[in-house]
Amino acid sequence: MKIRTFVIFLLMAGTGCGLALAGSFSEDFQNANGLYRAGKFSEAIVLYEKLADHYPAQGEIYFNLGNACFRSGKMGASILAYEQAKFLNPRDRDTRHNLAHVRGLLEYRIKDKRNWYIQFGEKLLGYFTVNEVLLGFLFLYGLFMASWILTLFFRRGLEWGWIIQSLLSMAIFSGALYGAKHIQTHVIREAIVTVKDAEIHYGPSDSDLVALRLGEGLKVYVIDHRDSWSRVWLTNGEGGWMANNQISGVRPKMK
Amino acid sequence: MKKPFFLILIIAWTLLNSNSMAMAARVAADLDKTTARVQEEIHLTIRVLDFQGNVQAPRVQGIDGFDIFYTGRASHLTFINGTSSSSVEFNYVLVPQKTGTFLIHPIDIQAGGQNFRTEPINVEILPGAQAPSQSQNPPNSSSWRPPQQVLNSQRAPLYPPVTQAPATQNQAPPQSEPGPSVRPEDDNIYAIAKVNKTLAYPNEQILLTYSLYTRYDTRYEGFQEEPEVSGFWIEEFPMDQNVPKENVFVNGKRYIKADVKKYALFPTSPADYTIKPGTLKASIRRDPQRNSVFDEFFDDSFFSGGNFFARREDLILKPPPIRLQIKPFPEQNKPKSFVGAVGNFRLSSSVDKTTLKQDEPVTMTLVIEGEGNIETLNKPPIPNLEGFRTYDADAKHQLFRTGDQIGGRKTFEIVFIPTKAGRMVIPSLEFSYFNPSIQQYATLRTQETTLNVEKSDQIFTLPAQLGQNENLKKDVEVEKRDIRYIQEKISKTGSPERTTLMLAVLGVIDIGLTIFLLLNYLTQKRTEIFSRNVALKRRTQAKSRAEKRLKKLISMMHRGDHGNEGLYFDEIEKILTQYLTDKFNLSTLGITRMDLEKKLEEILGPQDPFYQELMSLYSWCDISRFAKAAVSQEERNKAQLILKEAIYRLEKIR
Repeated sequence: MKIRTFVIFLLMAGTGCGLALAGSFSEDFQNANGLYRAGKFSEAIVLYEKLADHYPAQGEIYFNLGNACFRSGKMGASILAYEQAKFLNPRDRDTRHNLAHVRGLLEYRIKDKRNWYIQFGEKLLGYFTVNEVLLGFLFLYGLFMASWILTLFFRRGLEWGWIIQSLLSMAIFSGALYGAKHIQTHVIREAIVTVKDAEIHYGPSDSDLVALRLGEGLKVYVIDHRDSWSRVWLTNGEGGWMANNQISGVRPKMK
Repeated sequence: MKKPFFLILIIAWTLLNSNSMAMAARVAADLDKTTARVQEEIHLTIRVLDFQGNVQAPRVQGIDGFDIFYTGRASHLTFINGTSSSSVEFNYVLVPQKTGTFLIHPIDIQAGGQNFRTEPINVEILPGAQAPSQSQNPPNSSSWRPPQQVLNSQRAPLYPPVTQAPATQNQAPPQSEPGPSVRPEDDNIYAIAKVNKTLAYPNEQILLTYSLYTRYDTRYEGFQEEPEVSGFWIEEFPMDQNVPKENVFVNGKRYIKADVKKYALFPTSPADYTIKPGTLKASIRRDPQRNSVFDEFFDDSFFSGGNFFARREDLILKPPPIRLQIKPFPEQNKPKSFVGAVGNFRLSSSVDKTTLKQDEPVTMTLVIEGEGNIETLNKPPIPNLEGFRTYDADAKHQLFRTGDQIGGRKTFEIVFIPTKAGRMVIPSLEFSYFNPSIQQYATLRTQETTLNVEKSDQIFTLPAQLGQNENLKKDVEVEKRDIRYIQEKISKTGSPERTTLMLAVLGVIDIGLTIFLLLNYLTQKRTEIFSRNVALKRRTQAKSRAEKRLKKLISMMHRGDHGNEGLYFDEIEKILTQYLTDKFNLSTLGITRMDLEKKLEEILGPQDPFYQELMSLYSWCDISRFAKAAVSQEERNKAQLILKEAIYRLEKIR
């Protein structure tokens, strides 16, 4: 009897905490939106950033943060926030529209000289989150396994061969997609230049020669780290080392 | 793996096919009559409907029993009740040569890289009334018509034979002509393709003429290999029924010359081109005497078709290629409204009314006519008019030939809808072209049109004849661009917690299914191995079987079945015997105690105390069973221990 009472108490307490937290989040979000509507973009940015720290998986916060940054003239921060929103809600049309719009206003661009299939693959994977790709893979894999097991019981009665083969092909394909997506998000990480005049050096120190100068808002791919420096790669085939305080990773830091 | 691949192929094919079906062109062939008399003209029209693009005239191959003549093309683009339709017509005249019922086989047409085919048509030819056509075309007439589509010499001639015809009244006196640039083996017959100019501007007409020179009784039978004229817009000249021929002298020899084919070529862009004229087919009746020195006895019956029963010989004639240079338009004085029209044109315009109400349509008809490539003419550009809505309503054109020049008329209809009342003016419209004969640009202008527009309170709606046409609707355009507004609600769908939960559930299911399959696989493998090796199966399962039986025995004893010691030791003996036979793969049925003792002695050795214990266990079993002597609880426990120890020790022995 005592145990049952304790469990009920725990459940109620958990639900209450959850509701209280949800209420607080919703309130803060609406407050930030109110500041935005009132044209107080700097204050809205502070509140959106605070919310993003607490709820890093909510793409809407990053989207609104991007809008507030754009209205404040912070192009790099705006693009970073839109990229983070896109990372979480990759098929959101508003996010894609705003990102394209702000990117169109940049002074510089980096030509994409990669092979067409890499560009296509990146674009395709950009429409799904890592979890969605993994979910697809697990679903197809489970379906394939279940079908295989069914053939063990219905081997004589039904012809399952080509269905299993199709499912296996799809499972392998989705597995490959997941692998590629994992590399895209965890191995070659996207980052945005957040300062006006960023420099790419030939080595990880200020004493190394400057190879390139980048404008705010441009995208780089981080492939290595050393102390406070990151080795980056650009889509035009160039690369070098950048100070960490000049770039910010696109992938939101989850708790 | 093939089936999914085929499925994907089928789906892709279906999608592609459905897409192409939506905008497919249609092709139809019609005769103006399906019953006619010999020598009575029948008009064949091949229509290509709903196709926007360039369509070349189809090659109508020889139709047995008919003479065929191409008479030109016409195209139409029409908007009726808001629906647009376009068509290109190719017209032919068929002249039946014999009676009977004939089938006009499907005709192949290429449009936009796709092949189309017309339906077959039946036509019945009755005998001529009193052969009036024969009198028009007597056997000895000097007139000559090209039997273009005869495919082989075994066919009957398509027109009445005209033999031994002298040089005709319309032929010019013998001239001296150039010989073939590539000399054939037999220089008594050759073909030349020539152009009227080798230096031209884009879209300027170049006349390509195929001439046949022969000293034989010859019949021209059409193209064996079509000419290659890529880079040119091509119009085929309709050939006259009576093609004039003339006597000419080439290198001192007398030939009969006939221009058998003419094309108008319009180059599409400046470049150097080489036209490969293809090959012509002709059949001759070779007469050795005519190759002799008695050229003055030469007669020109060769275009006549000759004797019906005469043996004829096919020849392939290959004219040499032609080089052309197409130069760019001069930049000097080039009008802004010039978009590539070349030739010599006239422009006129008219409107269907000058007094109308606000939002009421008025149609302006623009007519451009003259010599040049009419088909490619563009409508004069209409400026963005304040106070008017403008729509393209109709465009059609008709080609005609003046001598060796292609010309025609193109009509554009433009709908203007005044949006304001008062005196409204449609400004002058401008059309520019380049006239290659004087090497200058020319600009034509329509007159300004003044409209008296009365005020109307009716709300504007697109006129019914335009309203249903999606092509006429104007696109909504973005005036300025900005970012989209903030998102004011947090979406619940696809929340990360839900995704994580689904991932966990699916992960557990997948792991479970994988383990199940692995176990199933291992079980199958084990069964397979055991089915091949029974000894291994018995050895492997000996311990588990013995332990299972022993457990059952202990359980029985625990239930309090104490009075049955005989049964207990009987079971102990059976378990031990079963275990030993399984372990050493001995026959259970034929085995004796002696055999077992011998085997154990062999394995353990006679001095081994455990061997002695096993023997004593067998003794207890015997005593209990045969002597019915009471066995203490302690002895039963010891028997159990000995059995377990036996299994344990023997399991270690391989």
